Amino acid sequence: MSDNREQTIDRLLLQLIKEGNQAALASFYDRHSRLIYSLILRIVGRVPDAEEVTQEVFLKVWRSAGSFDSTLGSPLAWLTTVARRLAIDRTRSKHYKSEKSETGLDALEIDDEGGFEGQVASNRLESIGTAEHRVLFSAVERLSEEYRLIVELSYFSGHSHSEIAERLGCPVGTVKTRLRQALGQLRSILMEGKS
Amino acid sequence: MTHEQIRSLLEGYVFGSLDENEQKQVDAHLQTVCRDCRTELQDLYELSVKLAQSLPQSDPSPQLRENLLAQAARKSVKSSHRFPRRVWLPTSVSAAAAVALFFWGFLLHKENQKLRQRLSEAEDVSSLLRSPGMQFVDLKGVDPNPQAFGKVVLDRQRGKAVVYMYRLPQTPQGKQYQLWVMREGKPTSAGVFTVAPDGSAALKLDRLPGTDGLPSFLVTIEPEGGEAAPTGMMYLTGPVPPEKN
Repeated sequence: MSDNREQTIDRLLLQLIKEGNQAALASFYDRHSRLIYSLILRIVGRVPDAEEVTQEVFLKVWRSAGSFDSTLGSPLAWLTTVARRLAIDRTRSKHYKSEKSETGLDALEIDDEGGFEGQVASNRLESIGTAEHRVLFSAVERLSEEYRLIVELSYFSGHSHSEIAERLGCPVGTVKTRLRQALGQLRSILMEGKS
Repeated sequence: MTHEQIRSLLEGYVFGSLDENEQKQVDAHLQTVCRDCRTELQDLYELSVKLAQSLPQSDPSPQLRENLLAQAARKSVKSSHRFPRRVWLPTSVSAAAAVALFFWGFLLHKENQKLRQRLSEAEDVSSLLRSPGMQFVDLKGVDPNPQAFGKVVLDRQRGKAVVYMYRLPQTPQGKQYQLWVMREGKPTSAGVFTVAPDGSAALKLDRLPGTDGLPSFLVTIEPEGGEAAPTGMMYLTGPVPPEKN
């Protein structure tokens, strides 16, 4: 199915959800819960937290489908943004931090050289899925190590530019430039794949 | 901040990694409806979806779906029954209270019926959306009511459709809207309806009149009960696009 058709279905479902249609919510959940849960799990690193945040995301959709602004992108882009924000909020909560230190979750974080450790690394190696997923996976893999690190720190770990600058020991301006270049490179790799 | 400076912040804006001041500046710039920045922003949001799609995918537990739907149902029932909460009951149940209780029960029953009906409509849509021959038809408002619009979810093979219409003017006294399927210039009635106070209406069609060839949909206003052929003003129209093979 084309992206346009997928977007039309999502827009229609959001319209129905806004009107209080529970079956539309079930349909919307069935279409996107796998992606949203996987993203959240990647950010929070723990199944119980990932499930709680996933539920929070779809309840937010249920309560605020009307706040979707179609001028800013597709329903899926909106959903992904909501999921990422709630997941990052969870990693900043006191409860999460205290449990994290008890369970040694730090092992899942990337090291300063940009290598990935623990469960995350093995997940990446096990990565299987649809053809589209494999294309995207290898596109991210093809980013230079430096760019992959910046995407990892800002997108998946939710660090601010100044936090990243401090961590990498470089000026904030360099972080902004590198992030822009990293996404530019990702876009070019994806375009190459299409042509 | 210049336009170029703002553009250099858009990646951080999408990823939520700007500081508060930068965030405010981008928000203010976007309020000016800068088309370039909006396009760039949309592109970045789509790129962020692709980053999520590049991850290894795994399913949440089936229990999560059940919990979510149960919670949504609770929230929906709560909000739809707000109005009878102030029913006053004296210590000794008086006749007035009994009437109030009866009335309350009646309202709950009606609300339940509405919820069930909405659920069944949505199940129909979900089933249509899964059908391989599913098509969308856009209905556009016709002058002097260009604000009206609609969407038809259509399964030609099974002759089923759900039609959603919005922003139609209130139904005049003694009239009803009528939906038509036009085929080779010949109209067949697909049903009559009135609109809700917000101008919306939904119509479920189980036995759609012939949709071979390239038909179109049409909504007109007619005397109550409908007519055999359109006589009144046209409100919505939309052609069915050719099926893709």
